[in-house]
Amino acid sequence: MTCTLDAVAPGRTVLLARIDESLAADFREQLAAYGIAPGRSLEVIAQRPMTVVVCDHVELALETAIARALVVREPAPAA
Amino acid sequence: MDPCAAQTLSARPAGPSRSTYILLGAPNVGKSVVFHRLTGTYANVSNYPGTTVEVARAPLRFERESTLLDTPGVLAFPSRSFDERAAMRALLDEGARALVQVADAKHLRRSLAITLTLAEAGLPLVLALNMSDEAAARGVRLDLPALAQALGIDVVPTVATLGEGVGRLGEAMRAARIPRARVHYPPAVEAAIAATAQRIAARIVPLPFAARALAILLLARDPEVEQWLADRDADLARELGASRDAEEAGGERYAAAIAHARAEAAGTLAARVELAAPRPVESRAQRLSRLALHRRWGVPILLAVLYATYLVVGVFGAGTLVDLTEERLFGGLVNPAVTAFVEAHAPWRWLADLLVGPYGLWTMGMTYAIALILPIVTTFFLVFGVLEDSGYFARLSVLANRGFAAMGMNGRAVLPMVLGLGCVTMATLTTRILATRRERLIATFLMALAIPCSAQLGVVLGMLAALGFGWTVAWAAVLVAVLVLAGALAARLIPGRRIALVTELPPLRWPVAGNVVKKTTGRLVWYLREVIPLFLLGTFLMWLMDRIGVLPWLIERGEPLVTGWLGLPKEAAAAFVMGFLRRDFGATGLFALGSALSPAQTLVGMVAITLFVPCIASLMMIVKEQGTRVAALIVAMIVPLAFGIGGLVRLALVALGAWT
Repeated sequence: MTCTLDAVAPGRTVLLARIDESLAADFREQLAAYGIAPGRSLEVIAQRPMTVVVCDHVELALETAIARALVVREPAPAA
Repeated sequence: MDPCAAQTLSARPAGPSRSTYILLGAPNVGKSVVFHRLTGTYANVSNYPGTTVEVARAPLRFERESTLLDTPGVLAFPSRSFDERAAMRALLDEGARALVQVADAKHLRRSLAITLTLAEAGLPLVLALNMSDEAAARGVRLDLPALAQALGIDVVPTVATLGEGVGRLGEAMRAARIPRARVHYPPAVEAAIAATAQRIAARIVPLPFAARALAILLLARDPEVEQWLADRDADLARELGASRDAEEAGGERYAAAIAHARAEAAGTLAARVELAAPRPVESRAQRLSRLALHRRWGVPILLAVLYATYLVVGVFGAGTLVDLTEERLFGGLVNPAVTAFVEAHAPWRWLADLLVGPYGLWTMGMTYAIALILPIVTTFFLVFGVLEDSGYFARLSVLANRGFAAMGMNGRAVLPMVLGLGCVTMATLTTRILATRRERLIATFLMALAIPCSAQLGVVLGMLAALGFGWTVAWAAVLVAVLVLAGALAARLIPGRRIALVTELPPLRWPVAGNVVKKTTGRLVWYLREVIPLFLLGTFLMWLMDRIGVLPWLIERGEPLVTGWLGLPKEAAAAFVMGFLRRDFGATGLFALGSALSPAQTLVGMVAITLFVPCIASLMMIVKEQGTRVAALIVAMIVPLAFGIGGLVRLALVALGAWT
């Protein structure tokens, strides 16, 4: 079951499944530089005023347009 | 140009020298502190990504004949931001003897992605794993020998703020080795890299670093490398660009494939050497950080920050301090003494007039710069430094993002806009932190139009406060409306797309007093050196225009507009002419009219004068940053807008029956 990052309730941790192809290349590079890549876990801290996630112990704020391009899924129960 | 920097790239040596070390790293990893430890010179030390806009240079403590370059923060290469482009220029132009990467020991994966990128350059490299105390406190344990072995270079743990490990870092720098680590890209990308590298190496000698790295950067469309190649062999640049474009049209996406492969390689290496990953900790700073963006508490905290700023800058700086310096020190002691001395000794009347007359270099120019502006900008820069060092600006950019989106920018533009309330000239320079030329243009235009600098703000608020709070609110409302409408219009008219905000939120921390004092001092030195000469030039022009009769002529020409359309007394025309040379002079000129103006006339005058063209120093900075054509265009738009909106405010007041 997947959804986009902007729809995840704060407090939950999800895994990045894929980045939508529609996202411009410069943003994909920027996200890669922050370590946001498929398979990474993202803890959602807030959705307002922007999506705030913790990835690799770094807090990042992402505008909704970007968060909407990140397709995420629930982590496996064992994780 | 960074006001705190030791020296900037403008003082670049004539040719490449192999005695230069280049310091590189992500924003917020303590790079500038390492620079200070290694050179004894302060560059820019701050907790906001992107405030070092140029490259600082100073001799090394342990090797005086060699220099160290501090570059702005790099998230990744190919370079995209202004900061990354400056760092890439340093790599291309400086002919470095060795590179020193400063990395945050807590964020190994991200750090190693940069290490692997730098390793491609084939230059000697040292990795300083900074903040290793914080990493240890968070439970991070690293197999450093294994990491050094895998990379083929020295890896030195440091705590730069305490000077720990810096001695060892110096030794490692002198014995720096060429890394052996290498990222393996997908076969199609490797083939393109090999072909491109071969053609570069065959046509250009010498190369600043490995042809392989240049090829990778070209395939990933690094604008600085493209420019570097075009400057040396325009034909080759065109040919390589065309073949890359053709391959990408066939479905290959080099930049994304390269970024992905590097991230994978960094992840694999980090997993191998990380014996224990950092524990998540819920610190007090983290709780406060989250509160600053909280949907209920974020805005009240912002208002409290703004109110505290007003108390320090508006009440203490512009009130108490200016009263001391302008009224008592200059008005009561210094100026009478200087005037008496000049009057007694000046051989010609015009010279005395030039120095201590109504438009005198001392009585008007220096008095204004030292007695009025200096106390205000000092307190402003101090507060700005505290906010910057605490990491609050990153939160502010998130809070302000939606508002700035309406004006075609993102929340990052909040930094220059707030700085503009201190000094628009310096803020114009700071627009360099914005990602695109379009954003820089919009921010520069809006600041020139509707952001009053501290000097002007002081006079305007002083005049409006005497009339009552309602008039101040009306003035602010008009300005905000103009700012938003002009921004929305500029966003539609200036071609290009808006860049969505993706920003790191460094943990909030108590500002370090030393950092704040040093940054404030650096900015003040910059102000004294760069802005005061321009004030003096402005005063001189006023004196000259008065002397040759241009000033009265201009005032006469402007009268119909000022009396007819704005409904102000004819003397107010002089204030606008003065405002052309120095923005706040205009406001001061209206202030001098005092009781001759009704409250409604004061509001109209204050709106028009605030929107009117910025001071001569800001204008020159706009020319420097945006070019003469853009500067002329900005002025050509602002003058009719200022008078047009001033007149509309008058018509609105007439319609409301408030015009007396």
